[in-house]
Amino acid sequence: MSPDFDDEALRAAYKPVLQESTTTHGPDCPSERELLSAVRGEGNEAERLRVLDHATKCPACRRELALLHAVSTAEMRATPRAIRDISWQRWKPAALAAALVLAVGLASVVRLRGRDTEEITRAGADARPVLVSPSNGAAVSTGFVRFVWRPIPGVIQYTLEIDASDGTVLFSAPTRDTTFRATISPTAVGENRWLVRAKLQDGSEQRSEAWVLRVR
Amino acid sequence: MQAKDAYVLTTTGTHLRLVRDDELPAVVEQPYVRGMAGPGLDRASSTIEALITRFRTMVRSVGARRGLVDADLDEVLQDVRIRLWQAGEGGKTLEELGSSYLYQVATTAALDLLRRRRARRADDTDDIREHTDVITDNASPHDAVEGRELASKIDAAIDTLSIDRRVAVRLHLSGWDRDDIARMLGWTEARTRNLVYRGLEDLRRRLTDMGISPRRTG
Repeated sequence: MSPDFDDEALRAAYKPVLQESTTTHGPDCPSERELLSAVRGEGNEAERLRVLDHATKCPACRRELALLHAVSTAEMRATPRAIRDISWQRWKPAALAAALVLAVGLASVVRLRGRDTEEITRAGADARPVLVSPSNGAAVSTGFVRFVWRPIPGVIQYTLEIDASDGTVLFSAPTRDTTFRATISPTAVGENRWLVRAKLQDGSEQRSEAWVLRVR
Repeated sequence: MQAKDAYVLTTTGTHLRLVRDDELPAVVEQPYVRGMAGPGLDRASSTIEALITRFRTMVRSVGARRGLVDADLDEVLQDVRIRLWQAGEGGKTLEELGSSYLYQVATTAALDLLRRRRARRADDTDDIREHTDVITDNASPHDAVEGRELASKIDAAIDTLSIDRRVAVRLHLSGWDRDDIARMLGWTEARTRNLVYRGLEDLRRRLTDMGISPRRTG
């Protein structure tokens, strides 16, 4: 990985692509109706991906997408309740699944006290949470796994998160401690990532690196 | 024009209404106007203009970072302006129409604009492709060319990502925020965040493999 290409550098380097502008479409361009549907999140995911995959690369469609989005989003902001209802309907199955996973995970929480915690605290504060254990790329078995990270000042709450390779959140649990004992279920077998998000007193959020966690 | 066919435009506050001429009150010192001129018309016009101005500000605040072209928005708003007047002529008040009417009209106007443009472009033979050469302030032509080459390589590297990460990364680099991406793709905030994060990780890895690093400036 090139350490110099941070987010800001990437955006700046990519900018010339976005400055290319045309109103001429090709045969593969989605219709203006399809663009509007994608902006509104209508239709199935595969279709929306297809349309947006093209629209984010094609200068003519990108310009139209921006216009339709700006107008459409303004409409959505005028009817917040409708949006909330739509969002909830769409995400209800995922939210239900996440709640079930979380319920299982929370049942296994053990708050560690004493020597371990003190040693970890003495490891020093950092601007963002630094992961300690399991190490990056570690292989673990299903069952209890203890996650450890270093503290940072001004934290209200940490959230441990384990994600599948496709980005799906497998496990998410809040804690005020810097250790968490989670139950890894057989459904998590394979390569995952784990990370910690820290909610700070000023309302901002700091996020650790994401480490690979292989579950066998 | 006979009296029974005569209509006047009326306005009070956010109201814009066309009423029959003989329905007007006898008192003339009120915000109604006969014909297409006078203080009442001015007020109707200023009401619409104020509405359009507020709407434009709001839409621009949403679209500015995501590549909205001002000329496109202004063209849409001109259409919206006409439709609002037409709605007034149909006897509707802005209050009756409701706030969502404005957004529906704007969306329809935007779709019509795009449809017209596409139809017009299909008849044209010239591909009007524009480049904005200003990469950074005071950038030399050589820097501009280099900048475009680097951007093209990054774009090519993005092409190698899986489709969900590709879309997430392109939207992210184009200034769309996670809420936008999540709403359009029906993803949760967490999934969106992860796909953007991992997509960027993949992209950096690809760029390193391709021997591409940030340009040295200054």
